[in-house]
Amino acid sequence: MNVWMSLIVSLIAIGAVVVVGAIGGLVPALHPVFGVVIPYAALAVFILGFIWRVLRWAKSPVPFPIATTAGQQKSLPWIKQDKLENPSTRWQVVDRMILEIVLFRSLFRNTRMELYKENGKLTYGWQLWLWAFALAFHYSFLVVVLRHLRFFLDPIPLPVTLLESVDGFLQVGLPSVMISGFVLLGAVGYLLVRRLYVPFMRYISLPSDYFPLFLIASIAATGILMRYVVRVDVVGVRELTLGIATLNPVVPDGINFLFYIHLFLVCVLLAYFPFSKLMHLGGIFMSPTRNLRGNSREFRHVNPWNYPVKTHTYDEYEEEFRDRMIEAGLPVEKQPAESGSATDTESAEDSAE
Amino acid sequence: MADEVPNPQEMINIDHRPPATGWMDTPTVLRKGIYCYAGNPKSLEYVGLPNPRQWHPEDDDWKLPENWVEIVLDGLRDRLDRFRSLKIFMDICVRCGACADKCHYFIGSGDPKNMPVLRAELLRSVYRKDYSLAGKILGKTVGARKLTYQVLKEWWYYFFQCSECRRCSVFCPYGIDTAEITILARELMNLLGLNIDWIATPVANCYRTGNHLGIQPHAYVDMLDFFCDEIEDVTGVRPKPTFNRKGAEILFITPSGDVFADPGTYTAMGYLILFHYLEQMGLDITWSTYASEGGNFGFFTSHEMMKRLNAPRPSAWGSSGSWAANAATCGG
Amino acid sequence: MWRVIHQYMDTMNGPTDFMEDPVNPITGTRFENAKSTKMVHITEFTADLIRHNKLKLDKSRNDNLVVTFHDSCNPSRGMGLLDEPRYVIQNTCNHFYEMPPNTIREQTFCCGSGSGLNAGENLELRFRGGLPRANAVRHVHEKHGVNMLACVCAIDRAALPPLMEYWVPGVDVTGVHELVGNALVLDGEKERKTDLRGEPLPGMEEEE
Repeated sequence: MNVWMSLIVSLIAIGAVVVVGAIGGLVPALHPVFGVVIPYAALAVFILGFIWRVLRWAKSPVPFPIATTAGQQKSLPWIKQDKLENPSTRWQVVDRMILEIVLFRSLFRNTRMELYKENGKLTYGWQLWLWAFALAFHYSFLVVVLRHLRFFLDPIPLPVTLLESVDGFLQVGLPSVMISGFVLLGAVGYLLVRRLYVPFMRYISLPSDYFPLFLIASIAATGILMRYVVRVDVVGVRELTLGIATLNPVVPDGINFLFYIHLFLVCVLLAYFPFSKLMHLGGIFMSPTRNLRGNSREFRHVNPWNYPVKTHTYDEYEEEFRDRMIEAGLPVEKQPAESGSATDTESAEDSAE
Repeated sequence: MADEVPNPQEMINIDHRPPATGWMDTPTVLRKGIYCYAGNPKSLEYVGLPNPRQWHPEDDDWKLPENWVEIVLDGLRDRLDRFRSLKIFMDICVRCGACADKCHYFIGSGDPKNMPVLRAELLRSVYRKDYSLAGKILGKTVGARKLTYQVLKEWWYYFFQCSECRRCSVFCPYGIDTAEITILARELMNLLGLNIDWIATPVANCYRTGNHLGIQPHAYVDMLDFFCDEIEDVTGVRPKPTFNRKGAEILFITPSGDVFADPGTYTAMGYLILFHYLEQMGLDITWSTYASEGGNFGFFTSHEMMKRLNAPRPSAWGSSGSWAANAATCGG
Repeated sequence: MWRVIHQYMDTMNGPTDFMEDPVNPITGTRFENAKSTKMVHITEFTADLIRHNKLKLDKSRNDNLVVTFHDSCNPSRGMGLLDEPRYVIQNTCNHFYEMPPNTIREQTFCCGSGSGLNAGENLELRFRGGLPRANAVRHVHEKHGVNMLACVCAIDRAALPPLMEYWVPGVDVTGVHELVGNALVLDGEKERKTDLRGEPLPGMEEEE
């Protein structure tokens, strides 16, 4: 599937989602469906799907300790172990995982290969853009999600208010500008442009890579529109969302259809999540190359399905090579006379003795 | 052979730009100089690997069992149930591309299917078709495709262009290890008798003689004896190695490559000199002709074959050593 | 096969309780990190000996060599054997230079022939795959005059010589313990005139 097809397919999908959301918002009779039923269903799919997916992974054992060791092992006492990159205790693994999950440690290593054909030289420059934008993307998304807790909790907890004031610290405009939404949109834009601009990225990208980017971009864009451009009845919205959170759903009148588009996009994201690559959120915690210790010679790792195999035993080996082993002066377990493989001549010699 | 290799000036002219057609629509053509020859049927037979037969990679017909698709898909299901790594690595790649230019084969060839991400997608696409609802319904749109003869040939070509070096896994934000995927893909292909001779024959040799090169015990002793001659010439001192000696404190195992060909042989001499030096200080060490291989090409065949070839080591130890010092090779 | 020994062997064939914990009989060092498999890498063993001053080494015998070290993929990324071989090299020769940081240790490049791909019919693949490794060697060859590529893997010792000949003529390949064998001063040895390869030792060229 080439890039145009991929883009068209994912854009059509997003377009359809937006249209459906808009219909849900424009037809008042559908408000209970789009404001209550679908959000609950999406949430259920997300939670159950996520759990199902994690359990499905957990069902398969980890037969071998296959940690990727990215630093000096624990060996002789005077050789300094790299405890973060080659952990040998569980706590060191926890440290490694924190770095990986919180700071994207592996992505931080990223380099870019450059080939200079005129002199045949290769270089590998440190490439931090992907790391920086990935970090910006994930953290701004997190902040946006946390900020939205104000819609689901009453009273609004202090941390959420604090977060908002940090997020809006620039104090420009009214309502004050929340940086996270724009960072999110910008970072999604970078990831999208990178996918489209870098030839090999374009080559490896699937519609299922573009679709989530479009989806998240649309969520951010509709959110920004509602906050700064189109007036939305925030009190009504909060009534609806609090209703969802308190399992006491209400559908206030007069909420702008844009909100229904926004909400439906979020529902699609939730329902799509467990069945897509977005599950890397759960997978990274369970990745055996990262969450295992590198001490596999010190402590035995047990493989639950370890089964006996057919081997070539020493006795069989000696049986085949005994004569030559004796000739070469190698020790043998059995002398030719006692072994079954003794040739007739040898037996004859034996009896002659 | 060697004269067919392009010269370095031609070789360095690498085009890293991918072709205009999508990778699923770009047919794989097996190119001489890139692939290895098929496993010798006698070697496969010797260790009981499936489907031993004469075949050539460029043949149209690879003489597969009739139900080969079923064999592979059942094999895949079985391995998904036994290896969490495989399941997770099939599911969570986001195609961020961080691995792409980390692979030496991609750097040196420019072939996009040598990017770790695409190498994994070769298998992942089939996995999606058969194990995900979305893949079943939406097919190509979600990167899913059927396992066809052409796909199988592509697997064979590209999973024998990965050296299981794990460099990509260092850079992957989720630690996806292409080596793990290649190991299991090769295991699947071995169910159909798809192997290469440079692995299959050393495996058979190792099973029989204890080492990849098929060196028999008396020849092994002779070779080390020859090294002792050489050492005596250079130093005036002659090491006296022992073999298969029961009750020795340490068993030494080294790859047979080092007793067979230069420059590894000089390294083997280095071991002999070191042990001779230490024997004066009380070192009690012996060599084994039975566990005479530091490498393990079973690892490049299947997990089971790895275990079968590894068996002589602890067994040789049981009779002759309390622990082992090992030189060995890199991966397997 | 250090990947197999380090990450698979004990799981497959263990437990090895019937054996004693590995202790270096010369230094008394317990190899704690190998107490379950009982498998010690030879460079761990030798590094320990050198650290305890148990080896009489004449580094100058390797003075004709300007050495760099190729980390084999799996000992580095499937084990973490990085400083042990370096310690042995630095104690057996005087001229040692590292290749650029993005091409060594955990970021090392494959020899191009790993995992059983060391055949004769796929030389083009091997030279292509070995390009990044060769390129880094070429860098130190041109910058520091490196003429010897040391490694801890027997496949490397088979795979790298043709690779060097193709991309970086003038660089030879050695095992870490060849350097040890040359530098180690044996009791009662005669005056050595050549190294193990029969090449004259530094200062012995004229006598040839």
